[in-house]
Amino acid sequence: MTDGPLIVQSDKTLLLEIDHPMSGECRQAIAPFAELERSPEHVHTYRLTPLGLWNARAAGHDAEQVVDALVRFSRYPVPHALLVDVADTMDRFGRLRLEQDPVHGLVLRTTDRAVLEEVVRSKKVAPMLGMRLDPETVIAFPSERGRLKQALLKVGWPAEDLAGYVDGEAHPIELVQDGWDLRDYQQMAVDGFWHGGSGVVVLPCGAGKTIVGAAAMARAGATTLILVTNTVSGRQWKHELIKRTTLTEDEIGEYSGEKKEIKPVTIATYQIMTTRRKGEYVHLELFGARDWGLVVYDEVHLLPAPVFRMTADLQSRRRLGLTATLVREDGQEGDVFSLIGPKRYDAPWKDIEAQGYIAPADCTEVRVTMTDAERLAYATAEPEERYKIAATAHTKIAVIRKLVERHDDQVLVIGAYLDQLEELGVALNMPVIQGSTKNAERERLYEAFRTKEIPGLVVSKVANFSIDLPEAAIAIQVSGTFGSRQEEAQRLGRVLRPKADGRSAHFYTVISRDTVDQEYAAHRQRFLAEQGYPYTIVDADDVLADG
Amino acid sequence: MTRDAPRSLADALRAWPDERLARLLQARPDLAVPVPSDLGVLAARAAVRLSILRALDGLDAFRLAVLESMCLRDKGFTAAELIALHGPAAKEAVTQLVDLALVWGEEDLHVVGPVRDVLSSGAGMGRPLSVLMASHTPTRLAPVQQALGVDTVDAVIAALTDPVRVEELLIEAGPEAREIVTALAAGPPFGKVREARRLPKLDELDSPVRWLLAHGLLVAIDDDTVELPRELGMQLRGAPTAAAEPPALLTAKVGAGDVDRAAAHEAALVVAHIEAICGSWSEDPPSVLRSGGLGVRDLKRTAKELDVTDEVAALLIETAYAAGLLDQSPGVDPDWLPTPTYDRWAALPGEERWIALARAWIGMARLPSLVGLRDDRDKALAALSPEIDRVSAPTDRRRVLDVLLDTPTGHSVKPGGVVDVLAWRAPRRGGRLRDQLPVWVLGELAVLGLTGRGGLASFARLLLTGYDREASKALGALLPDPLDHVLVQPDLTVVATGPLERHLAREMSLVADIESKGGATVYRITDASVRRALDAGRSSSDLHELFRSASRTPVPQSLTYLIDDVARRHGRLRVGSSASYLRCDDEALLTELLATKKVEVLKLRRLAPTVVTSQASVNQVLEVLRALGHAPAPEAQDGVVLIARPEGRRAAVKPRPNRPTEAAPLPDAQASLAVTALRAGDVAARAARRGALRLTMSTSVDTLAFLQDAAREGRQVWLGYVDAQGRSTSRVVEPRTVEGGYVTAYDHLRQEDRTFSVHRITGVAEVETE
Repeated sequence: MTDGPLIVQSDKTLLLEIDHPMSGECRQAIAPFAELERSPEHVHTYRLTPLGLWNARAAGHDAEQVVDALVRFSRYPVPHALLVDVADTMDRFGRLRLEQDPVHGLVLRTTDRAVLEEVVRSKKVAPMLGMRLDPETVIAFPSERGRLKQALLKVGWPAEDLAGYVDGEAHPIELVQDGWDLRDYQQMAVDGFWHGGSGVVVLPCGAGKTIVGAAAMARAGATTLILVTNTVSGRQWKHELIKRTTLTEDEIGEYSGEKKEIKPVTIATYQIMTTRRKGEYVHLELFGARDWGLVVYDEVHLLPAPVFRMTADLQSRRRLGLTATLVREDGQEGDVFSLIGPKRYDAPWKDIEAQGYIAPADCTEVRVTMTDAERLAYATAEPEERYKIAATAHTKIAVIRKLVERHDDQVLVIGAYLDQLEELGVALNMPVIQGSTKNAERERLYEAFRTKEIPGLVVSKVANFSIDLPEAAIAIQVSGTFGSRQEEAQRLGRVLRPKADGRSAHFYTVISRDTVDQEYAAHRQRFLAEQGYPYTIVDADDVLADG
Repeated sequence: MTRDAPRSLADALRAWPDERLARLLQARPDLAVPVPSDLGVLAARAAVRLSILRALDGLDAFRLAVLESMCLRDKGFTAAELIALHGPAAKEAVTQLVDLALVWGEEDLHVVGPVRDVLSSGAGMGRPLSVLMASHTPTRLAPVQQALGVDTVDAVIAALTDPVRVEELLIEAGPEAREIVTALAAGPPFGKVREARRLPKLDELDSPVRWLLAHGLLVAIDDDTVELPRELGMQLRGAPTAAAEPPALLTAKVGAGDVDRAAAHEAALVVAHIEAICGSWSEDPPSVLRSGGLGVRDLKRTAKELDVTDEVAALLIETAYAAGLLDQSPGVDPDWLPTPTYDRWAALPGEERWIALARAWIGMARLPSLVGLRDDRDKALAALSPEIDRVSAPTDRRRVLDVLLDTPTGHSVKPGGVVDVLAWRAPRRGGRLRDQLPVWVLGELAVLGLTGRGGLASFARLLLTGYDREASKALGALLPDPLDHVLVQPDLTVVATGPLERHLAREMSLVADIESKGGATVYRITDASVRRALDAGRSSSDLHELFRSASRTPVPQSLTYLIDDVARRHGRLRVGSSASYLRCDDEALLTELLATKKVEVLKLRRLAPTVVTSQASVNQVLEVLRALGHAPAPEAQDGVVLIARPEGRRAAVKPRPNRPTEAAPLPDAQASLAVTALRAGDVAARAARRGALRLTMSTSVDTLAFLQDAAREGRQVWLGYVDAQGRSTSRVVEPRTVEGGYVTAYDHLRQEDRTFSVHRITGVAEVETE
């Protein structure tokens, strides 16, 4: 019996015992092909998925390496069927290749005629293919490059896209490293992306994804289209790019509801891209407005379906996806793989925290017992109203006030229901930012927060993403979008920027006991618990009694 | 040697020494049950088709080829001739064939008659020319005679059995015709042709088939079927050959350690799986199908629970059944349930549990791999059903295991190689499944952990050679020691990094759901799983204690909270059953009532000041209360007072069968048919009576001989027969062929060819026709 740190289960999960002396070595060996699913304190769970194995193939690993790593570190004999399956799955990637033919343009070429026969007969794939040139090659329509890849993935024969990229319109961009350096993992992320051509970089919130984007732009040295979630986040990108690169304000355009500038570097929001008038996407021309050399997708896990469809037409441009988590609540991970690209870099949160690039955080769940009147209201409410009633229970206010008082620091209070936020704003004497707050007003309030003029901010879910408040160290979550795991991760991300004085961050979730609020909280916490953030549970009475 | 050469098998057996006869009875045990009365009977029995089939099943490819070549001609062979044909190994092969009483003779070796029939018909050969030509009328025969330039039937047969003449004819017929006959010679010997019986005219043979028919190389047997005569088939096929040695089995070195570890891992899984099946079935037993098996849905459910394929699940279930761990519950609607044997088995150490399973599998006379396949009526075969009983299964399994036992330790084999070896060792055994069976068995071996990475494990080797105790010890050393601890993590998962001690495993699967199984087990603790543990009688402090003592890591606070939370809510709502209730706004009246002695029979229980429940029915409660002088009113489910005056009772209407009243008159057509039948029967009976009746009541061997003679000579015979409905009839027929346990004969009564089973013939007699 070998005594390895890894246990390979027949359901294709891999359990890695962290306390084992060989665990570090083992993790390096399996990370390229296994998806980290959970990383709580003692045993990390990885999963072998076709996408993960294909990601590994795309990164140049072969089945032999995978099998060897599994067998070498496994404590028990590895199920033979699983090894065979791994080899089979990996073998499927690259049987079909999209290539550029000097005469015919884009072609789908195969090393295995049977596979090509199978896919040209598939109803889903056939319409995107043209004339058969020889038994191994068939013409693919360049306009269908993305959809073809999507369809091929669905039929289980993912194509390797070797058709290359257009360079786009050159535009010199350099990083200005004055007083800061590209961190090692950021450099590795950029290298990984550039080597692969297109793909996704997964980094925790606060780990400097914007800088990875900037470095990728410098590497491309070409005009860039950046797609972000909202205007504020767009402004922050702009701000950051001016600070970190040779780009000047004049070279960066904003394409949003308010302004429609098209410049060598243009930042657009998902919202504007998906605006429709009479059923037509009116801003589609942005994609063709310039000869873009690079398209950056911020928060790629939120990429709306219409943008996916547009992206299908951008397959000859380099694409970089940035995200903190590939978990999509809609389960569209396969589309990210085929349309943006395979995962090119991934670092566990706790690793980056250990390197000091994100602040350590304490997560606490505070349980409030509703009053009898509230419980009655909750019990008799319609099922769809229940979450709101539990989440906005008035009893929470006193506890929240106490929590704010407990810390002599600025606080972000995050919630989803406007009446509750208004009420909290009054009770805590803090300004409220919500969907209808004007962008100028938002900027002003953020600035006031940064300069510590105000004790804190009450924000709605507009602030889930991309608000840059580096010194925020305390976040109190009072309500959310039901059980959304990625929302929880994003909100924690708000307080994870490393603090100047190295103090750790605190993340509170206030929930009503014995209600759906508690159930959703448990679901929301799963992702972070799996990333190694243990939650402590305290009783509201203890908080109130405390000093 | 001065003794005369034997003239028959019986003669030859008589000359055998005793120990040689004993060897024969051992090699063909069916000959000895019941013990034959004399050597004549033994010889007759040895020549019975069924017994021969069994003996042939045991022959390897080489011996079979020698025997087949001996069937090629009617004359006897000498050993020297056979050695010339098959090489020196034929000498020993012939001796063995003689020992098996399939061949007899000393200098001149003869094949026992029916062996020839069995080998040729089973091998896709047509009937002999003599039989085929016998059914030809002179008009049909004439063109053939003309074509061959002869003038008797015998001359036709002689011409067509002369290899030189046949070869000439085929050359004349042309390559297309040769292709046709070669295809038919490979079997089956029948071909479809339109208007096969049209009389050929020599000057208009428009197709190769017509040509062949005209020259007797093919024979029409009905309007659209032609048959290739046996003699031609044999000549076209040529002498059968086979290698004298079995094909070499290729093995690949894997390493004894790897093989053993992989096999032991599977062995541990099998034991765990079977425990899981029995555990799940004791909670939620699947019902026994009407036909006696396990429903497909239940099989799929079990497979899903175990996360294995349906095939593997069927194998596991069948193995558990064979080991006596599962059985039907008694009663009208039986379920499949674990047996008390299961509890004893479950208390054994892992390795001994596996030994019990492996032993059961080796010996079970069932073929689990058939589960899910379709039978002749396209019905899926169910697990645990009698349809997958196969008496030959243990022997077939053993044959595969014997091949594996011959491989060196730590070497793997490929299924194809095993199939080839077994196909040589007994080519006739196994029928349609011959080449499929070893593949199945090898698959089952891998699942059950007798093999690992394609090689036979050392502990399985010990088990198969009868050293159960040593096997158990060897396996025990390979299995990981059961753990007494788990790792509890903050995301409410619990990881057991190896097999758990029995007690701990049971507690864990009670308080947590299994998320992933394999070498390790991952459990997830949820509200529902904690509630399940509380329902099973564990208290929250039991659960805290369980995690505190079993977890090697600090128990996360979220788990402590979860347990307390669920425990706090547990049992807040109470549910019970009662047959009726009593309610009354006057609390004093209820108190008074409860104090009365006479209401004790109603088993009243006060739930609230104004509510009392009773275990007695509403009517009973009403009766007792009225007897006590109260005036209770019954309530309907919605609380409305019921007016309790029942209406008169009625019976439910049941459909009644239509009974026939009177016999219907017989239609004319049927009546005249009946008369015809009566008349014909009468003629047959009279003919039988007039003939010199020689009722033979002796063995069927004599009956067969008599019928064969009659067929050859074209005589009519009287036949006593019991039909499929058990009615005894007698008729006069003209036998045409006697083979395969059936007599085909022309029945004058019905004016057509009829087939009679030999075992239903009660007697035969000569008939003298006018």
